[in-house]
Amino acid sequence: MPVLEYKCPNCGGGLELNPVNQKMKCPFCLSEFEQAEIEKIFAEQEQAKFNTDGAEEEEKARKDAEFSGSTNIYRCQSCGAEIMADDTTAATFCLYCHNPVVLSARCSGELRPSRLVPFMTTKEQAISNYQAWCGKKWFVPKDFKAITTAEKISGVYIPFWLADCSVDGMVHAEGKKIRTWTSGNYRYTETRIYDVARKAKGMFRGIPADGSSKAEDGLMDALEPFDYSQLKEFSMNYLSGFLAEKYDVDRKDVFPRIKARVDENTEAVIRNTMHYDSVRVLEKNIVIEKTDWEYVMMPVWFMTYKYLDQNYYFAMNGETGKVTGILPLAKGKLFWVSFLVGMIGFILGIIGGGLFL
Amino acid sequence: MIKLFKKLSAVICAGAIACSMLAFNTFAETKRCLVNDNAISSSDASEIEDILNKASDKQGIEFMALYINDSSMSDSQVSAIARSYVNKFTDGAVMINNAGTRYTYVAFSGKAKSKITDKETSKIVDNYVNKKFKNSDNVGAAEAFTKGVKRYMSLLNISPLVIAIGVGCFLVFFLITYFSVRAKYKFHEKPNTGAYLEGGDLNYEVMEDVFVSEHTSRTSISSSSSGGGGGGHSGGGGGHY
Ligand SMILES: [Zn+2]
Ligand SMILES: [Zn+2]
Repeated sequence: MPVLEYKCPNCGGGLELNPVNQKMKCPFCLSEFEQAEIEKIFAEQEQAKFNTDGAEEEEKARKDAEFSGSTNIYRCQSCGAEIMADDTTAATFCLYCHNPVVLSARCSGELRPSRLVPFMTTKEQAISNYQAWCGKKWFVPKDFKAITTAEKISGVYIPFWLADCSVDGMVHAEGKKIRTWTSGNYRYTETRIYDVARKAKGMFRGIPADGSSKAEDGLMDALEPFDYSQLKEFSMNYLSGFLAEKYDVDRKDVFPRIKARVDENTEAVIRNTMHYDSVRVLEKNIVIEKTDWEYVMMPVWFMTYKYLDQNYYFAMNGETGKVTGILPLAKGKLFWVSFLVGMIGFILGIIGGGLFL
Repeated sequence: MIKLFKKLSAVICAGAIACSMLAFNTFAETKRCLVNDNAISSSDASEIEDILNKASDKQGIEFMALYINDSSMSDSQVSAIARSYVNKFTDGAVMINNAGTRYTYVAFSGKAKSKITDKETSKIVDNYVNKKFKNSDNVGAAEAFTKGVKRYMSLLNISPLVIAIGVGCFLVFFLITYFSVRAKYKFHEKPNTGAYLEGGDLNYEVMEDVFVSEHTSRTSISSSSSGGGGGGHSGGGGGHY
């Protein structure tokens, strides 16, 4: 079957022909394409391959080998997390469960990111940011701040997929303009109905999605934005002294996250051009026509902590210093504070009620 | 026709009050306990005088008790007397008892009137005062009257509606605090995808707004004029025992 040769332009999965509508469908990300479209993209890719000269290929192979030859993979026996570190740096404990990690293998060349954003903040900054952030939170259990050792914060390069998506969106809606006025004893409501159609193309560049199944997606999303102007060609020097997480989520698997973001934003941007009092969407179709991927690494100061059998996270964008995380909540303290505020409400209600009744 | 009748009855009432006041005028006006037709004994009267004086000082309300013994007097005439007396005071509480018809009525003015509801007034008459009169305990009835007023004047006597408002406010304040703080500790920061859109906008190939139809609806504005506020009533409550 020749069709199996075609790869999905969005996620790289093998395409299949859908006999119902004669379109090429990706079973992984559910994108659908016209056959002619796919053939065109495929031809362009072949042409591009043909154009790259041998020197470039050689250079890539040399870099891959260098990476592979000096980078180790440590594996956590407990949770299975895999961490990469260069020969000069030894990973000792697991970032996610704090159990010891053991050296398991050399890295293969394909794990080498094409580019990365180097660390631009120090561990001292990360620790002081953590303490400031933690200190501001009132409802963190007291013993929690005590048991937490900010020293456990590690600098980790987190694998990210950057997706460039060309999108084609169509929204068909019914818009209403409503005007009301009163005349005599009557209130008049005039409703004008419009048929609203929008079709637009656009390009999203570098939507990030982390390639780590262990790192919580929401946490990583909250570290955005990274300043891509700081992206540097990968070099072993950057890795020295830091850990890196091995990616275990393929672009196929992150594509749904990317697609959800593109769909939502595209619709929102289109809806923004509809200036009506109310808009009812009748039909919409947002298609990602093609996605280009880049595998990069982003610097993150990271710490997990277990408190009462739950995992909590702290993370700081290693480039911008933006802080995020999930903290435990002292529910008892919150209850009593809420109760007190409620009692103030009660007293105000009684006084107010007594005055006005 | 009805208006005329009301006017007429008002005139009659006024006449009756004038007569009765005249009758009481044989007593010194500085007294709190006024007795007509020997309705109660003079020793009871002096004890009651003491009780009312003390209660007036303590509660900041002018207490008065009127005792008559006239079976020919209608209940409405009796209650009109109490009302006319109570309205002489800024903050007053007047009880009248007609031994001839075994009818008791209490009337309030000022702060007692604004605080004590009609229902509570009936309770003072039924649960406090009349229980004592039933046992011919005149002194006890006067004391019960002051106690009843104290009970319903107390700060803790808050109307159920006000308590309901208070509880409502409690719940609103409590829930807003609890859930807004909890939401802050939950993780829900949404990244801004728009930042990655090249040029900050899409390129529109179709942007059509076609007028389809128009319709106008009309609703009449309900003309509700507020019904005239009911005139002040003296918060009265009466009952036979
Ligand atoms: Zn796909
Ligand atoms: Zn682990």
